[in-house]
Amino acid sequence: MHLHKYEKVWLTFGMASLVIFLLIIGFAAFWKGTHPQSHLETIDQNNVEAHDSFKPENLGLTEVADGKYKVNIVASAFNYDFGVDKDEKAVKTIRVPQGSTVLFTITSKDVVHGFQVAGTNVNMMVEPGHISRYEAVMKNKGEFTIVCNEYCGIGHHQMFGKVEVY
Amino acid sequence: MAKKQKSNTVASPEESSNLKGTFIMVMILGVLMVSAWFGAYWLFISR
Repeated sequence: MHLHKYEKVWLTFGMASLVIFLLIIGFAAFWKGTHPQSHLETIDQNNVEAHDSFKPENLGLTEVADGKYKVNIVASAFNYDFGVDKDEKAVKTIRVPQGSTVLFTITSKDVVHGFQVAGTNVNMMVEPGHISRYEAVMKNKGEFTIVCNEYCGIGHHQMFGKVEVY
Repeated sequence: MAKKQKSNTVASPEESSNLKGTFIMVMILGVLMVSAWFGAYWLFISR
């Protein structure tokens, strides 16, 4: 079979990129531990309060160490439950200092929801029966809107919140 | 009846097919794909 020299060039280019991208995927998966956010733990969706992270008093923002925070959230149609503040009002804004490491832990009571902190790398699917986790370093200052990016029903657009990095 | 004329010399594929345009398009596409990948990676790192 005769191959034109240009064909040899682009076949080599194509195959080399394939090998490089496969190596990158392998490196990310096996060395860096990249995986779906909901791979670790399952939960009874009808009784999420039984899990320590989702007890009403443990919802919302908690400082676990210097510069390390965790945020526990229960998603349901059509709300993110971040717990309540001192005045028993529902929390809608999470405030963390710049450079802090924040572990978001979230589950759903009913249907599949999304949890995206727009403008950051925090972006997960929230599935009933699974616990999704994502740890992120909040590098940039600003206000970031939390949105549900999986269509979950008629009030989908009302599911939002805010992360404020100061 | 006119006889069909057949050339005795067979041109090599290298000469008969000009793949310059195809080559340029393939390389443009390749560069686009690679830069899209690095763009997404840069976005991931910077956020």
